[in-house]
Amino acid sequence: MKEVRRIAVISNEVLHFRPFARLRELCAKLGADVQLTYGDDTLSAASILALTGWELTVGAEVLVTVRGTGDIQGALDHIVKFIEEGFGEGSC
Amino acid sequence: MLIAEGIGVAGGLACGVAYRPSTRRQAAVSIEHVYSTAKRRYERWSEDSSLPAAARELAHIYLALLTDPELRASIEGDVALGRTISEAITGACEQQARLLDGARHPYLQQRAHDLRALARELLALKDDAGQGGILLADTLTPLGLYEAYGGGAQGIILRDSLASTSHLAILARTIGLPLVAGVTVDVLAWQGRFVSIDGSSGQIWAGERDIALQAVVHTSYPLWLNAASSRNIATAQGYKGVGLFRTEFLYLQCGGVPAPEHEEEQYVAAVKAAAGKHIIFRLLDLGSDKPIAGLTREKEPNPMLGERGVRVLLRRRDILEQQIRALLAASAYGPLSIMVPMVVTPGEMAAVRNVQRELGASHLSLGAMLETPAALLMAKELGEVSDFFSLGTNDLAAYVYASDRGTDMHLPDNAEAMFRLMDIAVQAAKAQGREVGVCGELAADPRYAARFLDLGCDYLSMVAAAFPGVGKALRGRN
Repeated sequence: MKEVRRIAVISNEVLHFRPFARLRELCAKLGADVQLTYGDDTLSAASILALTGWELTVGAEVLVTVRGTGDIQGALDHIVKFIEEGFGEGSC
Repeated sequence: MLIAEGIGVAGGLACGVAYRPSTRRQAAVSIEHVYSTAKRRYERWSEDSSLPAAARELAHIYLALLTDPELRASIEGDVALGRTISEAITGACEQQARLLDGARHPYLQQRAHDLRALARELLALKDDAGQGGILLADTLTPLGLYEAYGGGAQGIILRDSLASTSHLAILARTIGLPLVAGVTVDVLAWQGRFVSIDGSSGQIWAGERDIALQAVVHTSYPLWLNAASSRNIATAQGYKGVGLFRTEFLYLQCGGVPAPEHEEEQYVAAVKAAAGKHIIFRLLDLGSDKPIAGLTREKEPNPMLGERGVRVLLRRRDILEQQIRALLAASAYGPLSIMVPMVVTPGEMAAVRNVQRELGASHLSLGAMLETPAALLMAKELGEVSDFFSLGTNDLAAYVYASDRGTDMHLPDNAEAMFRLMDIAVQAAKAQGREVGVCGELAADPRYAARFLDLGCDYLSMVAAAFPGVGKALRGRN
């Protein structure tokens, strides 16, 4: 079991259920065990409600931690990019 | 016969026999069973290929909530402590919903409804496919709406009032199901009667009516439309022009600054929907009761008197420029002009004009909202830098009467103080040949319609639902 982590900077003005639901789908697709840390609080990427409760907004920094076997570095890169590019909130 | 009026939430006409959905509460034998039943129902919605993608995507939000590990753990924990399954579900969802009720961002506050809807669906069991007709309900969840649609419902009448940004409203609009909400009479009593509804105006008739005929009664009056989206325009009838297009709606919807090409697309769609009629686009009017995190100032001691309207735009020139560029592009498709919100001084108008000039958009006419006492008193000087005016009565009333616009405001002495102030502004504007419209809520109030025209106002702009009432009040005038 390995572990990699990196900071991701939020670019969305507001983050609600849908972006976090997409993040969870991505983590499932990558087969990665992902946790997010904001301040002193750490949550599983599956905890959509609690993540929404953080009320993250532009410029907020979250620490992304990926655990597992296989290409976890690749998974981390993918997830950080997804977060920084706005959680797939295409048109807005 | 018109039997009721509500709020038109999703446009279109529908008629049929009114019916109530038969909903049984399911016997909650185990949490697993409750979850798997709900999951199956949401999956059917999410996989329904007859729906547009946007309508299907809403189902994914609920599926995601359904698999939220902490919500599930909280429900299981409560059951382990001796609560019933239904108490645990209601309690856990309500607890999370309350947290969101307290969120800073209005968009997040709205999400509390999603959780309450989820709780209701977890405890419900729908086993009949419904029928083709008009569904009557006090309240409805998005899944309930989808299932009614799947069962052949032609339209929906709701007693609850509904925010236009709620999932229910969005879903009804994306699947094109006419929906009238906020009907204050006992709608369930209409069960079994044949009714017709107009999802744009919010009107409900007994029997089958030639609804289109009803809607054109008012076409001889100078009634303009208030709109927030191209859909509002596309579904309205009988208006002379669009007197107020609220550009903030798009920003609130996106929770921030939309991509420039998306913004342009929306304005082009609006201009096309108006099919040659003039549209007055009001530049972003944020602040006060319309904050957006990261865009408007936080923790202002008094947001009503804080940085709002044009003040935000002059600080965020990037947004002002993006808006003017998008409108310049949209002007290729039809006539439009630009209106500046919350103007206090001629200097602010001049500053916006400068930006307009720099972007090569000087040929678009530029007007000022008259909604602060200062602007009304300075209408003569404002007229030198503005092409037209529009009276914004909501904020004006608040400033004139020192009364909160959020509460149900009573205007003392038939708004006499306001009308005296507006008279000064309209006279000054007319002396310079400037057009003056009215786009605040007072314009939609049948009691004041004739008075505005007597004052010299050129048109009244309001939501489509207000046309019949105001048209009736103006009957007999030339």
